Amino acid sequence: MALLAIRDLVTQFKSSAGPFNAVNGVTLEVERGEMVGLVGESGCGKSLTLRSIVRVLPRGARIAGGQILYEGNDIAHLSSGNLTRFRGREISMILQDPMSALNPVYTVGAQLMETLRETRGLRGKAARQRAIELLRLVNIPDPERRLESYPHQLSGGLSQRVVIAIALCAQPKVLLADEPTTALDVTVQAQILKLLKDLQKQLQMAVLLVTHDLGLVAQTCSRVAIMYAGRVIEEGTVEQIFESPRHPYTVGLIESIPLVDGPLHTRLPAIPGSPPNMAKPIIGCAFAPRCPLASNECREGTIPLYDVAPQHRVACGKHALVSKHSVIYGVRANAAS
Amino acid sequence: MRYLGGRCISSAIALLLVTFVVFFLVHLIPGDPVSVMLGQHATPSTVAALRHAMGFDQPLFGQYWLFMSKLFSGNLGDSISYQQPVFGLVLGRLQATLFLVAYSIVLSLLLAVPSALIAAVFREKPVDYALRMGFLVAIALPSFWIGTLLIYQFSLKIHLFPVAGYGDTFTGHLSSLFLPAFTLALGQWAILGRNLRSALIDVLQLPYVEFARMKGLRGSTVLFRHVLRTSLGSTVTIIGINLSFLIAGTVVVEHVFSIPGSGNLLVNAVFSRDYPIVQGVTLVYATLVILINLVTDFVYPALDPRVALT
Amino acid sequence: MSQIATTPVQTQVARIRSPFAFRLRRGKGRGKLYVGTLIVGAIAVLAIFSRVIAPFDPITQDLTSQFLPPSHAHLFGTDQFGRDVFSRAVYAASLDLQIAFLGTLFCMLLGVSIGVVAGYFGGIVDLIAGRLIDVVTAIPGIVAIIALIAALGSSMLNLYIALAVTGWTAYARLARGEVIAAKNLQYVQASRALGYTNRRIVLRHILPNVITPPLLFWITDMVGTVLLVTALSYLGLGPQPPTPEWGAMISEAQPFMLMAWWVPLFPGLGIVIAGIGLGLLGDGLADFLRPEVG
Repeated sequence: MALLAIRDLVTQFKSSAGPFNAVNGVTLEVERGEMVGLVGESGCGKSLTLRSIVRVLPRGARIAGGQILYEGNDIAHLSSGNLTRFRGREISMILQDPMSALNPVYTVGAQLMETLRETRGLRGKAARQRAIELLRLVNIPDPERRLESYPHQLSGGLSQRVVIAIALCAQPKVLLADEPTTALDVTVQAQILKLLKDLQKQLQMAVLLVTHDLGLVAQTCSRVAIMYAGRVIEEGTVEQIFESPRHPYTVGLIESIPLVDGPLHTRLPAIPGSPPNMAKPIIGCAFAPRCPLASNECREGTIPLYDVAPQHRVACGKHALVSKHSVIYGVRANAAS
Repeated sequence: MRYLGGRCISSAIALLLVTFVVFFLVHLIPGDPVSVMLGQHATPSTVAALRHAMGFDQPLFGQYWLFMSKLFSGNLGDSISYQQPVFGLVLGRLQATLFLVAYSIVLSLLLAVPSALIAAVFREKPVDYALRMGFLVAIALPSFWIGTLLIYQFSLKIHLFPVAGYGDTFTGHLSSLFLPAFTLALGQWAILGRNLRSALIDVLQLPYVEFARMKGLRGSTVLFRHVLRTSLGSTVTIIGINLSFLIAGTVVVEHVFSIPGSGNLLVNAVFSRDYPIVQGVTLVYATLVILINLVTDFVYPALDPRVALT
Repeated sequence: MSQIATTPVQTQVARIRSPFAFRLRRGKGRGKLYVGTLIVGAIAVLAIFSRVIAPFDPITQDLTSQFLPPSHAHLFGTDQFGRDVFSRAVYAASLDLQIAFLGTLFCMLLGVSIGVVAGYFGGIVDLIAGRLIDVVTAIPGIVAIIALIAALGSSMLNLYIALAVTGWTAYARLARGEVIAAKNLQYVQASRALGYTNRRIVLRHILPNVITPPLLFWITDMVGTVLLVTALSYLGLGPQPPTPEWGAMISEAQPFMLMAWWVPLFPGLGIVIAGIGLGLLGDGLADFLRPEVG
């Protein structure tokens, strides 16, 4: 049994034009202690999927269907009081911009210790001691002094370390990381990613990493799920996804990763068109309008998830035709640049 | 710190200009101010004596010089109707006014903080609409009318509170000033409640509030420790800005409830043409407003470490 | 139409449950705007046609019909001099709204002019305007007005002068801020480069951009000014008896309150309803004009 299993999750937004499903049937599993990447373009619903798990949703959004199974129990329909006991203790989450995730009026120590008090019942000296240990765990130098710092006195990288320390206060079994490095300097990004990887191994903690950067996933994760227009359209191990992608969109994403040893000045192939308007109901495959392989049957019904290999599932009716080289977006050979 | 230094200087300039305005007030009186003050039955010799005492026989600049030098020794002239130094008279009456101001601020906070919290948490729900409607009505309520109705209901009909006065002891003050303070608090409730509601709504959507929930804090902890605490800065500012409005309100309410405060002193002085008192009260109130606004500027950084350290 | 026809029951239920929430929920302040316009319009009609609408003369006394409770003949009852409270309240609406409207209009003209000049020219002009604003805001509104009326004497003209002198600062602040923002807009800089006169730039290019916040504040300001003016006459410093005026009516009725509660009640309701109407109108307009943010 997977530690965390999401089944057909639908998260709905109210809008003046009626409700629309920003998360539209996500199915995803995370095993104990593994690191899974959730990849997609901005607006595909990957952040909202994470927020749905801990149910800290933006205004106007609500879970409209599906299950979120944690150790086999559905937490998608828990009362918010009961859910509070899950947050932090079982599943914790960190955000994109660490600077704004910390309350500006409290010191680092105060924010760590209030979390320890509420989730672990630690007070006074014990809490302080634990707070220092946590800061040490995330490699913050001189932790005793840092406890007295206010968030605005910290750099972006330090802030994200503090945020991670706070998220780990109650030793959660799952850490949801919503683009944890996007807001940081390039040099710091690698350090934070390494820290997450180390912590995952050291604490035997599952990490669900949301990013739009497939290259980053290749370095850190064991499995990957690709999202498009509110759905997971392909899921598999890193090897399966990178070596034998079975969805045309995945192929397009992989091709758009810049090669370090590739020729300079070649224009990266881009997938033509843009993601669909989520406010309208999607019939058939959401990717069909941009897909070079699409035919009429792609524009009808709902595309199921096909098991194409152990652990490898794809939502494409033409998956048998798809390989790394069969889907051509046509730009690579073009010398127009 | 430089900002606060600048605020001190501009406050001092404002205070200086206020003294000039207050000084100039008597020169707006059409005709001879001294004859107006003393009325028709004054003898020429008393008129001449008062004219000399007030310095009206000197050129304008000399008069202002005299006014200022007296001011620095705490002398605002003598009241005509009370035959007493104005400064002592105003200060003596100021106690009731300040008590009333503080009392109504406390009451309005007791009303505004819970209602703003409820409105913000249940945003766009019926209770929020009801509270916002309440704010809208409360802002439109004339204090003298609501005060009159409160006297009618709670003092004349069921004798719960005294009709007028200030009381002699602290509890006496609390009881006597409850209705007037409540009257003033209604308007303040609306202003503070509205502002705090929108401040809370802004903060509720900030990432650090989301993170506070994600890390497993109880809803009440998130609301009080994170949302309310960071919204209070704006409330302090609003109280500061509204203080002038509140002091203006006491003038009317003191009259309605016959409270022996400095506002009542001012209104009565207008009818007895006691211009030194009008000048004195105006000067003291303006000084209060300037000083308290300055204090708010100093308090605000204490509530927000980002401001304190930059 | 067909939708309404097919679901009459639900529509009814929704309306009965919370008529107000139902209207307000229609976003962008439309509901507030409707209700506010309706109230303000109704009061404006009462005020403008007070001579036609008021059934009795507001001033002539009739000592045979003192303190009559509200009835068909006297909708709001009669006062200590046997005058019809409804007629007096209607005449008072005319007077009070006129003072509030014109008083705030003068404040706005004065304030916007000072604000625009200060913001546009900056430097020493701005500095002087800033100090002026500081002084006026330091003296609590009604205190300054009382002091001015004490010195100038109580008359309609002096009331307007006192209102204008004390009430312009908020407009000046708003206009000044907007001008400073507008001054840096590209097309304003371009018209400077083209050598247009200051007057033309200010009137043709800056003012239209600047006027919205002061106009919105104008409506809110009227609420406060109605309260201010009625309070002044309650204190006896506004229009003198027997002129029908809401504040003065309440003040005159106070000694007889236990005998005739209706005399002070209705003028006060007039003030409150006018305030609510203007408040709704102002809020609704602000929501309506605010650029759409989420």
